[in-house]
Amino acid sequence: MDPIRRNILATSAAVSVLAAAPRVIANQSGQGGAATSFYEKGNIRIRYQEIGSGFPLLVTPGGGLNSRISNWPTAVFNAMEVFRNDFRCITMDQRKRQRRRIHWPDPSRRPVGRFRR
Amino acid sequence: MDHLGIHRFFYMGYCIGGPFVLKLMERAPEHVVAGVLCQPVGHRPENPDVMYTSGQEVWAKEFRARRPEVSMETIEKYLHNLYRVRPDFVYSVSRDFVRSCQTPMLVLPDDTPAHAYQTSVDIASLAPNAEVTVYPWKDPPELKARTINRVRTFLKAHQPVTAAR
Repeated sequence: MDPIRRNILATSAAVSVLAAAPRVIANQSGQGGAATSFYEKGNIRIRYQEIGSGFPLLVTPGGGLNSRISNWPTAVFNAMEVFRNDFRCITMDQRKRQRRRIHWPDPSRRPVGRFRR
Repeated sequence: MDHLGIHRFFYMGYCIGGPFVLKLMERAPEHVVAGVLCQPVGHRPENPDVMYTSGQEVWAKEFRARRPEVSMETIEKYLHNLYRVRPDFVYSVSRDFVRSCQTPMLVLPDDTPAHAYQTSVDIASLAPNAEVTVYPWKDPPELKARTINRVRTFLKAHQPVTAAR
């Protein structure tokens, strides 16, 4: 097989595997020193935070359908802060579809067909 | 939680998280060791559309600013399925399920239009292993601190000895 064609196919296969597999994006520091990560699978992207150690405690913030990590500072009490010395506290945003915004400086080079987002 | 390699855990949900806790107890009872429902939302027969209206007026506005391609008709169908199809109790599970649920749970009631006090009373009355805090508990600060400590004590009392995950 033509080596250039083989490289293109190998790269495409690797990209497909990466797109399908769940992955975590690198940690960042969140509220109160909590580690922030992103779980991704397909077009789903979920932000979550962890703090503390011990038996796991999953906590869902209030806010109705807008339940999300950034609501903790206004909660009746912030479970991530209050229980960080007792448990491994985990919290997350509610699931949202990931939106990828890609800027194409030259519209004539924008991918078409199945590769178009 | 599967992604984090966590098999068993406590689950504490605020507001809409209360019905989430009960739903997870129904769907994956082997994973939820004990639950805390803090100010759970619930259906109010005297004001049956409080959750639907708040979804429409607050959540939908923000959502459509982000996702203008989603029609209001689709959003209304979604809210309808959430809050009007089974207009009772906690929306997510039936009273029969709560009556049969053996998972220990602690309820912290509230009394606002979305957080019906009666819902908290009903959960605590039906669930065989439920406890409920006093209400109101947010004031004075000493009572709030004691209530928070009760959550901590409740969870630690149900922590598996082996702390298996």
